[in-house]
Amino acid sequence: MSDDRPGDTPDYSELLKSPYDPDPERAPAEGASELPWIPAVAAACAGALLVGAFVVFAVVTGPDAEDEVASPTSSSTTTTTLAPEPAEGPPPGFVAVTDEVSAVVLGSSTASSIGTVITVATAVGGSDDPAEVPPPDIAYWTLLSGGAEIPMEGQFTSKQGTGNVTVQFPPQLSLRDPMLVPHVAVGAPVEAVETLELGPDVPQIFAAFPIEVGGTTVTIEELSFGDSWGWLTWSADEWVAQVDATVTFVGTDDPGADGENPTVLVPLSRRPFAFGLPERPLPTPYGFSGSETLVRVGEPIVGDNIPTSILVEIRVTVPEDITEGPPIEVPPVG
Amino acid sequence: MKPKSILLVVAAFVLGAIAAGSIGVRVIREVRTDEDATSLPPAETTTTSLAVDPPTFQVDPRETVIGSTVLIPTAVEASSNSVAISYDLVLRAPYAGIGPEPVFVPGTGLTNVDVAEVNHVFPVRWQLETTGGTFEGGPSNLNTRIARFDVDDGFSISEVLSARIIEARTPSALQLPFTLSADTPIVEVAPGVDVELLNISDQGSSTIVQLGIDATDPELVDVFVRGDGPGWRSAVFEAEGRPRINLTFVDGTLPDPIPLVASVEIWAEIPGVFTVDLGEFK
Repeated sequence: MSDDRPGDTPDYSELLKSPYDPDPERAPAEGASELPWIPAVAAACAGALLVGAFVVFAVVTGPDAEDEVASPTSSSTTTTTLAPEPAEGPPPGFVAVTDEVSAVVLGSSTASSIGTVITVATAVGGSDDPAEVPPPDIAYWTLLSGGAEIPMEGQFTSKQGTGNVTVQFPPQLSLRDPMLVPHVAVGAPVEAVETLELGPDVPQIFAAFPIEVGGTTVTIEELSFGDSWGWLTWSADEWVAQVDATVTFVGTDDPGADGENPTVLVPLSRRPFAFGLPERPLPTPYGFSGSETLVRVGEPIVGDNIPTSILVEIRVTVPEDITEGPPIEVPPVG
Repeated sequence: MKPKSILLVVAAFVLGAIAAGSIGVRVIREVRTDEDATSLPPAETTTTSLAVDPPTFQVDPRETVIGSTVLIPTAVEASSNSVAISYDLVLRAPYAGIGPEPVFVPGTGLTNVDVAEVNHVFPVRWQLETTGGTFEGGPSNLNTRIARFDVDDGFSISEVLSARIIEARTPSALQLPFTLSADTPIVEVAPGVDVELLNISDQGSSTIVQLGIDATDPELVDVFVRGDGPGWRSAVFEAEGRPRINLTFVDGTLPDPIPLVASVEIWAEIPGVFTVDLGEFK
C-alpha cells in the first residue's frame, strides 16, 4: 500500500502516462535519427536563401554598361554613316578639265551659216559650291578628228547660259570619232595696259599698233572712234588674249550724277543696264583674234560738254601658260 | 540544444549557402555572357560593315542631271484629270564673279536677279508613264517649274509609274558676222532665225538701218544685231519686246553690203532621255 499522508497532493503522473508517450530515457526507435534534422534543414534553407538573395541582387544590378563601352580608339568597330552625302567628284559623264571644274559635250551641229558648233556644259563636283568657283579659263579648244587637230574659230558664253561654252569651228563635212580638247590657261594671267593721251578731236584711227605682253605680241589691228561710237580689232601672235579698251573724253561730265562722270566709250559687256538693249554679254573669253564694238556711256558730246583731251586705255591679258586638258567625247554631229 | 545539434545547424547553413552560391555563380556567368554577345563586342572583334556604294548624286538623291543643272522633283499632285509635277532647278555650273542682272519684273520694277535663280535648262517635253497609259506634257514656258499633264478622268496618283523628259534645251550663245543688201535682204543667221533688211533712211548726217527678226520659235531664240566695223552707234530695239532693231551709222557713207554681227542665243536641244525619280511621291 501507499505511505501518502492526508492533505498531500497525490502524484498521478505515473497513472496518466500513455504507452505511446516518448520516453526520453528510452533509446530511439529503430530507423529513427538521433540528429535534430528539422533545425538543420531550416538552417540550410536560410543559408541558401541568403546567398540566393545575393545572386539575385548581383544579376539585377549587374555590371554597368557604360563602364564597359569601348572607346573608339580601343575598338575596331566601324561606324557607317547612312545620311546621304553628295558625291565629291563630277556628275556622271563629265570629264575633269581643272581641279574644280569638269565638262561634257551636250551636242553639236553644223551648217554653212554657223560652221560646226559644239556646246559644252561645265559643273563643279557635288561637294563644291558653284558660287565659290569661277568659270574655268579655257585658252582655246581644238577638235580632234581622223588624226587632224582643228583649232577653234571662237568660243562664246552668256549669262542666260551660265556654265555653257559654245565653241565654233569651220564647217566640217565629216568628222571621224571627234574629240574636243580643252587647252586650259594656268598660272596668273599676265596683263599689260597701254595708255594714250590724245587731242580732243574725233574721229581718230590707230592701225597696226603692237603691244608686248607675256613674251608675245598682241596687235591692235584697228582702233577707231568718234564721239558716240568705237571699234576695235586685234590679233595675237601664236597665242591667245583678251583685249579691253576704254576711251575717256576728259573734261566732260554728267551734271546729273554725283562726282566726276566723264563720257566714255566701253565694250558692250561693261555698259550699264538700259531698256531697249539686249542683256549685257559676258566679257569675251580668250581668243586668237577679236573685235569689239565700243558704246557711249554718259552725256552726249554736244553743247558745253566738250572734251579737253582724250585718254585711251587698252588692257591686254594673256595666260601665263597653257596646258592641254583631257579629250572630251563629242556625240555625232547633228 | 545540445552542442552537437548546434554544430549540425551551422554546418547545414554553410552547406546551403555554398550550394546556392555555386548555382548563383553559374547563373551570373551565363547572364553576363548573354549581355556581352548582344551589346559589347570585345575590342579584338572585327566588325564587318555593310558595303555602301559611294554617292553619285550632286545635290539630292532624287536628282536628274541635265547639262550644268540638276532637276529635283519636289511634289506630285493629281486631280481628277490632271497631274502636276513640281521641280526645282539647281545650277551646278561655276559662277563666282558673275554678278546679278537687272530684270524688269511687272509690278516690281527693276530687280537684280542672281544667276543661280535663272532657269538654265528648259525641260520642254515630258512623258508620264501610268498604269493607264502614257501621257505627254511639260511646263507651259521656260520660266515655270511645273510640268503638267492632262490625264483621263478619275485619275489617281497611285497610277503613276514613272516620268521622263524627252526634250530638254539649254542656251547656246554665238556671234555670227553676216551682210545684208538690197540684193540679199534676208539672211538666215542661225537655223530657224532670219534677219531682214526692212528700211534704210537718212537722218541728218546719220543713216538709220531698220532690221526685222523672224524666228520660228521666238521663245527659244534671243537675237540681237549690231553693226560690224567703225561708225556704228549702239543699236537699240525699236520698242521693248518688238523684234525690230534700229542701227545708226554715223561715219559717212553706209557700206554696201552692210556688215553686221548677230549675237544669237538659241535654246539648243540636249540629246537624250532623262528619267525623273518620282519614287518618293507614289
